[in-house]
Amino acid sequence: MADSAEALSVLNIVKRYGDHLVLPGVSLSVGAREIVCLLGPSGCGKSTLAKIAASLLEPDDGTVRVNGVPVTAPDANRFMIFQEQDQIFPWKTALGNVTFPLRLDGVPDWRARGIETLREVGLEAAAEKYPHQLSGGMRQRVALARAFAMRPSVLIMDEPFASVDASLRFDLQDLLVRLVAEHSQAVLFVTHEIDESIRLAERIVVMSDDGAVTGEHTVPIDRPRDARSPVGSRLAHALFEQLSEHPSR
Amino acid sequence: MKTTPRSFLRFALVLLAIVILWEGGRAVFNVSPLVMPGVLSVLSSLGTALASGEILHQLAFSFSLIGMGIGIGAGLAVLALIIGAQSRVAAEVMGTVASLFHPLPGIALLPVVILWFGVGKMAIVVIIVHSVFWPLLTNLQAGYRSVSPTYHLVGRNLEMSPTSFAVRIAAPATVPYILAGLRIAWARSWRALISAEMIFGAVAAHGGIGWFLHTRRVFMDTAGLFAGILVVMLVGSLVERVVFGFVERSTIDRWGMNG
Repeated sequence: MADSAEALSVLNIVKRYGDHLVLPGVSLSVGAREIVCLLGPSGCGKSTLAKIAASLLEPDDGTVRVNGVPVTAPDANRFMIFQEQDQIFPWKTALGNVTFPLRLDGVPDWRARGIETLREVGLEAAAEKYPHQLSGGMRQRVALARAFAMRPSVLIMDEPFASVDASLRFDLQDLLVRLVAEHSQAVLFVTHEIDESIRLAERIVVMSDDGAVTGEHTVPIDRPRDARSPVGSRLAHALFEQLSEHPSR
Repeated sequence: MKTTPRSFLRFALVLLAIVILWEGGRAVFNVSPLVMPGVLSVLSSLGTALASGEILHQLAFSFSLIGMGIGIGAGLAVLALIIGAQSRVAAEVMGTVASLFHPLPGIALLPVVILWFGVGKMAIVVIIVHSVFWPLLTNLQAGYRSVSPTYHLVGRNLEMSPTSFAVRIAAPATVPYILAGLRIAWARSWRALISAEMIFGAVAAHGGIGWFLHTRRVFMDTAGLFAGILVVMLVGSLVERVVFGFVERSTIDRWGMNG
């Protein structure tokens, strides 16, 4: 854990859809400058938890705190990045997408900041291109740039790289780690991929398919990381065992 | 559709074929010019009407009616959309009403409209509003429903007000539907306008292009009649290909949103 101050914490979150108990009282926290991966099988409720952490969904019980202060309404300081590639707007250029929240927020140097952030994600040359002229990986880079340009203190990412080719995913993961190191956000990163969580996270929180947190692991590997290193392989094995403990009902 | 040298050549060839068939038919069957005037006399009649400004004058009048009708119809459709977005019951009621009125040709309403609004400009505008409102509302509602759930989440994440979301996200996201609706609205109102004008155009000297056609028939000016038909065809296709083509190229084609 990088900092003792918790940038984001969710406490005893309970969520039901009708009779179905999705989250039975989940707690986790993310420190400033920390990447925490929430790892779990598909349909375990991790996306639901991510939306609740962003206050885009109301929990039936429990609280969300940002820097210790309870929050109930969404705000751009907890910026959410989605899996869907349509989260960026097709009618705006890459630069237009990145500067959209800045202009809403009345940031005076929005243009300069937008260009600078596009440069950070390696898309400076594509600033005037429209999303349909970009590859899937480039579109997710635009989504990353849009989030980082706002300098939020918390980033909540719901499998943002799941729809991108495996080879590009490595680049995007490295890019995310680099951006977080530079901008020191707290990141809650939802994924169902063990390798991805090992490459990204300072800490991995494992969620079983009944929505309960069943374990937590710090990742003791120096960056840049190799998920196939001996330590990484042992951790991957342990995570795999833990995910298999609760077979699908 | 883009204008390429090839498509232009095809257009010219088709035009030439029509002229040859027309003139050939006239010569072979020895048709009276009162029934089928020569191509040259149609063109000269068109030239005269253009030069005297009469056709342009009537067109301008017709377009002012269409502009007014589309403006009012579009405004009402947006208003209805907003009301429907507030209440599900209202949206359902409007959906039912729209399914009844949407298929009703504007011209079928003319007798009732005359009864209620009298003969004149007002009646024509009402018919055009009817022709515009329903297809636009139907398309706007479909567009509104199609706005991606992710956009709604993004909008809430950015703390956008409902108005800001509607203007900055929902409206551009709906442009393909808005344009499809406007295309139908234009096609219907252009047809309704000409039909209505032909039935009663005589509002002072303004009768519109439909009235122009009607008077040519009355005066047995067959060449002028065909000249008027040419103008109606040209204007219709000009608006569809040039105006809508331009708007689509600079919006949904550019954005890759054209399906």
